[in-house]
Amino acid sequence: MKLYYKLTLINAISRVTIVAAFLIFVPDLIYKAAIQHTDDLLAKRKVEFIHIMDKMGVNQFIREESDSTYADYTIFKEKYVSIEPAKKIINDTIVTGRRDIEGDTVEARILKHLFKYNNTSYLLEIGESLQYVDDLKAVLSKVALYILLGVIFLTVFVDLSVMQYLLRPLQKIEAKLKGIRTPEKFDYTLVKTNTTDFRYLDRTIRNMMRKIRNTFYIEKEFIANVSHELLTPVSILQTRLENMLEAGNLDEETETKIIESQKTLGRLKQIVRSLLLISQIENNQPPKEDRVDIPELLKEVKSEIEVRLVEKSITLELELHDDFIYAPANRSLLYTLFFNLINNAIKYNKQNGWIIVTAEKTKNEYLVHIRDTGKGIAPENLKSIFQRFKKFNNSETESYGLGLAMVKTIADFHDAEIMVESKPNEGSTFTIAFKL
Amino acid sequence: MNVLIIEDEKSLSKEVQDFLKKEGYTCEIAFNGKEASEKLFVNPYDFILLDLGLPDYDGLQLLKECKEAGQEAAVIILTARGSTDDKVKGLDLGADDYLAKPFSLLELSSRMQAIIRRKHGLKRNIVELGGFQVDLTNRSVNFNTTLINLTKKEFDILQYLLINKNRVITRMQLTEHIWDNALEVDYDSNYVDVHIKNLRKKLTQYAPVEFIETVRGIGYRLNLN
Repeated sequence: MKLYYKLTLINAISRVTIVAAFLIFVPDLIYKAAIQHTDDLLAKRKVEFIHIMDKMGVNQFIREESDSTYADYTIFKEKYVSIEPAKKIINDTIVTGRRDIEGDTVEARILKHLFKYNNTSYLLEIGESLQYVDDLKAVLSKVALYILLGVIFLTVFVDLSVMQYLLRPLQKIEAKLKGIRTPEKFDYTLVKTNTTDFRYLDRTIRNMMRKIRNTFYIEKEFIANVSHELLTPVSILQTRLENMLEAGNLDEETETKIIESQKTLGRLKQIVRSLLLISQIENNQPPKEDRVDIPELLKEVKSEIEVRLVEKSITLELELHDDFIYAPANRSLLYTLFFNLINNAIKYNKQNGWIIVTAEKTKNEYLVHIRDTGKGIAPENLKSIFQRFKKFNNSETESYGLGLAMVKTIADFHDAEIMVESKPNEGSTFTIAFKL
Repeated sequence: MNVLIIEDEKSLSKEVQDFLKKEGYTCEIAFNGKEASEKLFVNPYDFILLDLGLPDYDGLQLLKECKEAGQEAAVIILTARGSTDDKVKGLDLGADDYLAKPFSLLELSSRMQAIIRRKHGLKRNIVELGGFQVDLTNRSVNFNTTLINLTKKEFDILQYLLINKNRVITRMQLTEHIWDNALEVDYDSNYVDVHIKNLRKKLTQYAPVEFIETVRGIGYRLNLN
């Protein structure tokens, strides 16, 4: 998951948690505040009432009917005052209780006050219905919910844009790194940012890329120079050996030795040429101007290579399902690629073995599989077979360890992917995937 | 035939000179671009073998000077750079052929012979070979009126043996010629033998092919008087 989404998600979750907590506790807080407020109100009323009573006398408020215990002032049932002779002695209290007022049960906050008048103890009750607290609670909760939801959406939206803005340099750095296979293709301009972390990251990556590029460059230059320098002495030797043979005055043994030396020189020549070609491809020197009909090319490789099948009686079959023209490409390099792969499939095959080359189009790729019944590659070697001068089959067959390195270089040069699957003693499958 | 060898590597130019002298050419050597440039404006040549990697001169510049000096010589570029770019440029500037170093002397002489044939306008270059007619221009082989169907490689081998007739050609020389410096050449392989076997098989259907001789352990020779 991208950092941007993670941050947003975490922010949103923490907001929702806070809001949820708030929504859980808010009604309680409101309730408590309301009770406090009511209690204050009741205390004030008590003082007022006692003040009035002192002026007017308690009898004004006492009714003689014994069945009615309540005084008047109960028109809206929200508030009431009652005075009755006290049956027992209690201290001043405020409680929440239920009272029947004119047939309705009302939950109310009730102040109880005991006082004496003419040697009689009376209990004064001042009540305030709590109905309004419930109403208030419901309304406030609803309003709070709407406001908070609004706040969440707004802040998440703001967060997204702010974070996107803040993280833009990181995205730019990421974009610079995406799809880069060689340090040459890296964009060395720095990303503009005043976030020191990103600046540090960007600079570090740039400096490391530079180092890699320089190392690559030195290596490539070295290989190109060495190869070039080697070719001249090899030329001299080759022509000299040829002249010696041409002279025709040699005994048979010397002649044989010269011919053997020519073969050795031929190997050296081949290694040097391969290295030179690899370094040229890595420097993007060969032109890429051809439109290559891949099935056609495979047929050509087959007809060219058929002579090599005879020795081990190997059967080479082409199963070309779909047409495909790859462009821009370098035809002779692609030829070398397939030639090398099929040639390897012959070299490491068994007597009466098979090689099946299939070519097919999938949704995004054109795949060429080269399947053989050869000796296969051990799993621990699979990763390094494309490295230069790796040679695992200690067989009598000669290999100079550059064939597959060349194949890989050519595939990279054409943005094609190369994959290999293999089972020892059963065979290998090399797959080249061209992008459509 | 006069040949100017422009090559700064002394040993190499000497080997080339030795070989070409035996082939009947008259050779001169220029070890650097300056020397070559002077010679070009003084003597006429039939062939100029030009190394592109000269220490003091851009080889391609020398090629231009050749034309300016009014040389009618055929130019064969020899280079170790091996970049296709150079090849294309060289051929664009009027070079007749191109050989990548290291090259075989036999290959060089075959290329020179091919240029001579082309320059002297031999429209039909047909060689009589034990009852077969080998047409080097149209690359075909006939027995009387019957066209014999040879593959490209088979014809290449026959032609190369024919051009270098009465001379032992090693397997390696043949291999290098027909695979034209392909990178996956197996020098110890017998692929050339397979091609020769097929070639003999096709030809013997019409007439005996004793003229193709196997030289044990070395290679092949085409005997023709």
